[in-house]
Amino acid sequence: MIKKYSDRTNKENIQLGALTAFSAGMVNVISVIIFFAFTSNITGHFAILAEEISKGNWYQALIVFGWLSLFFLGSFTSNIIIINFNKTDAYLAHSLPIILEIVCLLIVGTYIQFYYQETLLETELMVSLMLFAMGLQNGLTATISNSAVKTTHLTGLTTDLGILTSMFTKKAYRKRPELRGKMKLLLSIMVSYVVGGVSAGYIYLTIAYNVFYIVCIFLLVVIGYDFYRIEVSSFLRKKQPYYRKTLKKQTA
Amino acid sequence: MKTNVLYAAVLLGVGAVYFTLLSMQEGPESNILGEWKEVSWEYEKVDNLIDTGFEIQLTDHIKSQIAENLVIHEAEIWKFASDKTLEMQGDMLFKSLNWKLKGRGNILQIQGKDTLQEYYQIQKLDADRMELHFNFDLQVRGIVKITFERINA
Repeated sequence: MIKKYSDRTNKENIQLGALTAFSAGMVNVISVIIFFAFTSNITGHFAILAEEISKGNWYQALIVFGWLSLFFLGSFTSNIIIINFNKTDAYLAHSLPIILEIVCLLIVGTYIQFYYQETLLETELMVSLMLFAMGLQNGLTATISNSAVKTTHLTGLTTDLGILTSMFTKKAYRKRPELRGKMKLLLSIMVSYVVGGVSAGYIYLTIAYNVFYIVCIFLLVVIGYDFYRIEVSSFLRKKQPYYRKTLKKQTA
Repeated sequence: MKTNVLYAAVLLGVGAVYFTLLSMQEGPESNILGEWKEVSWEYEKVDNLIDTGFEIQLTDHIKSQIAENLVIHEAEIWKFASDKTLEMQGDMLFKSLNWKLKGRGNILQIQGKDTLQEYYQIQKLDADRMELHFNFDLQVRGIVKITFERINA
């Protein structure tokens, strides 16, 4: 799901897109419920920044500017890790941004659970960490999928979906497999994001701040899936002569 | 190497300017402290065909109906203290509540001991004036604006 950089299949993009969009949907909704601030719709934050500047609310404008910068920094960090370590160990290079994201979300979840006094400074810092985490995630998915998968905001996705739907009014376009694949990818991201958001809203009522731990589990699935498929199966093949010689022959 | 230094310098420069500017601003949590007096209640009727803005003043009767189930009912003087307590005073009223700010300091959360949390949007907050907005749907469907003037810091 995350190991490959080039020659990615649509199935891999759908798996990556669906899981990360689900996590992003959860994070965004939970941050609105707890902090009254979005953590993944950057266009909205730019609009708010402009509004606060026009009103002369410089403190709020600076806070929003800081949030936007952290999303940018998250994306920057993600990509800098990938381009520097991709050749030495692609799996590690692609997992590291997700591990950092998990760390950020764990800090937020744990802090809210045990220490949160609901001061404005705490709110601003928690939202900052979550925006950085979303930047990391979006930077990673966009880089390794060649910009095919962007999972934390849906403006571009909805635009692409509108364009594709209009193209599908013509039979010639409907028949093209790459366009059908793209449609599946976009729909899976959109549905996952919404389902993630709705789930977060529902489960927050029963498990409260533990939602963050559930998001981390989903992200662990993303990195664990490739680890299992590539690293463990490779280990088994190399180290287990019984598996290699007997079981593999039987299954072949 | 030169590029790395440039990147680090830009990052540090932007960070330094950012935190310097931020430290020069007074945050809404300190701006709101003090005593505020309600001076007007106005509403913007959403289904009104003519855009009249917030120029329609609410009568005392409608205001009383809107606020009947709200924690701010009949409060005229609001006193925000740094320990997050909010004292509300009226002709026949004294309430001690708790206040918190959410979002980027644009959401005021008010909660009493046995009451549900209520949220108001801080539309304007400066040295002398504060405007709170909230949505309502009774006789007056739309947004209610409460304006305050500072009487004591």
